[in-house]
Amino acid sequence: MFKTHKQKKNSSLTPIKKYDLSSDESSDCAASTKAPAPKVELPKTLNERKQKAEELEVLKRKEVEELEKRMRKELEELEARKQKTAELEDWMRKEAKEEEDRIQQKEAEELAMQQLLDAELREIERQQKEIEEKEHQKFNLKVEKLVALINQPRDDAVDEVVEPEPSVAFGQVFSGEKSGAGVSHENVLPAPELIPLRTLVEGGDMIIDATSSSTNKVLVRYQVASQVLWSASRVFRRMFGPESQFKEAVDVRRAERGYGPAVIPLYDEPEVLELIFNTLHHHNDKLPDTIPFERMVEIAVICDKYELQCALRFVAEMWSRPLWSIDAGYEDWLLISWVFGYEDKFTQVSKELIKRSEWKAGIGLVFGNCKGDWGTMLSDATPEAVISKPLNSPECHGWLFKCL
Amino acid sequence: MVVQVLIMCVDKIAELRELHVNQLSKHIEKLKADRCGRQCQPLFCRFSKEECDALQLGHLILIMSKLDLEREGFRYQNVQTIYNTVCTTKELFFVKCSCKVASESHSECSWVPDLKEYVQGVWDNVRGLNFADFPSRRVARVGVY
Repeated sequence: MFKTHKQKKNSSLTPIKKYDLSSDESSDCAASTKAPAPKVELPKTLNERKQKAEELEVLKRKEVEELEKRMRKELEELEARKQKTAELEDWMRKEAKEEEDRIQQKEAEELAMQQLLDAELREIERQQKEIEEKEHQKFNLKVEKLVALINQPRDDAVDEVVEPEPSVAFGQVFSGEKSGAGVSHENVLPAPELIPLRTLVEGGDMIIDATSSSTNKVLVRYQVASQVLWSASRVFRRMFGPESQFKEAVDVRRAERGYGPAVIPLYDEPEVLELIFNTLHHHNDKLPDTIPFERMVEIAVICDKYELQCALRFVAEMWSRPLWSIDAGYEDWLLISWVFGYEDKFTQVSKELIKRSEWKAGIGLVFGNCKGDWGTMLSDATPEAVISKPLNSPECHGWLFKCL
Repeated sequence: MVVQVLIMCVDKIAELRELHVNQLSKHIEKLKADRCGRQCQPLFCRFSKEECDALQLGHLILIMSKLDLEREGFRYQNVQTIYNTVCTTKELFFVKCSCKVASESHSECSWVPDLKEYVQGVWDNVRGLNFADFPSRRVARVGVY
């Protein structure tokens, strides 16, 4: 009988018991099945025995083959299961990593949000603190005012007229047009005893605070009579005259009833204001005989602002007469002569300017023979808008006044 | 108020300055054009010399170039400078030349007296501004004066 190579191999792996044709065979067989051996009729002839043996051999081989097949199948299944398990592990690892990333991102977002909330909270706290401080300052000021009122003797403790609380101050309405006055400066007011007070009228019903427009600080205080001011100026009349309904006017009316002088800030040069107030209050002994040209220009600017030309006409004439010149550096006479109505001087100075003005590339029309490249025309008292506006305007000639 | 006033004033000043400078510029151009257009009839030379006119024209061009009083240069000059340059500079005259053609004195054929007279006229006619030039002023000042 021939065996294939595979069969040989298998047979070597699982040795097949060969039937011993000897007498012990039956007992051996019986032991392997462990069952009561049926009565098998043993082949009698040698050929039959051989045939039987071969059949048994074939049967055995088939069984082995089946066993091998089953084992191979199980092995494959095991392999597949292993692969699936690996894939599952990969997927789980991936998921875990993603989950970890998500958690980290969420944590970072939460942290950022927390920081933002903290910053907002801090800002709100700061604002609250500022508001509280302001309120506190206001309260203190009110207390101070009340204390002052209580301490002040009141002769006319007559009928209490309840003045309506005005919501608008003159300066808030006319700040761009005529004056920077009247804007509340309560928050920046230093302690009153630190600011020098110059009394022009003893017991005057108004205190003018000469306030620096840049720092908003009160430089000097002038105690004046409001009636003197509003009778000299239309602007002051509108601000706190008898017909006015502005806050300043209400304050003045309260002052008349013994509530202490009304306080009004004016954003002008204190020394110029002092000259003007002294003039208006007829304090002629306090007026200088001469003033420098620059001061005269400042007076002209303030007179134009508050329409005080008429009231200051004669004093202005006295001061300006010795200053008259059409030389370079006196171009501001154009402004002075315009404000105070000196037409002949206006004509002369404008004639000189026509002759002397020249065109400079990149700058425009310039005046005078100033040391620098630019001519002079206006003093520092002139509003910034005068200097900057024409240069910004494309259709304008582009003129400059300032001297370097 | 001051702002508007000054803007108005300076605009008027610029306008008048330009007017006078343009008058002078145009006159110089006219002087050149007159002498350029009459080559065949030398009307400007008292000896009727064509060369004289040509010399005067060249002199005019040269001087104008030297003094920066040409068309573009005028834009940047002021009236006072132009007046001082033209009316007070004595060397402006082209009096005599050593060459044969211009051996005679041609000072009376020069364009200089004409220009001087014109510049003087413009200078004398410069007028200043009046309050009447600003109608808004009267409206604004009612009640003050």
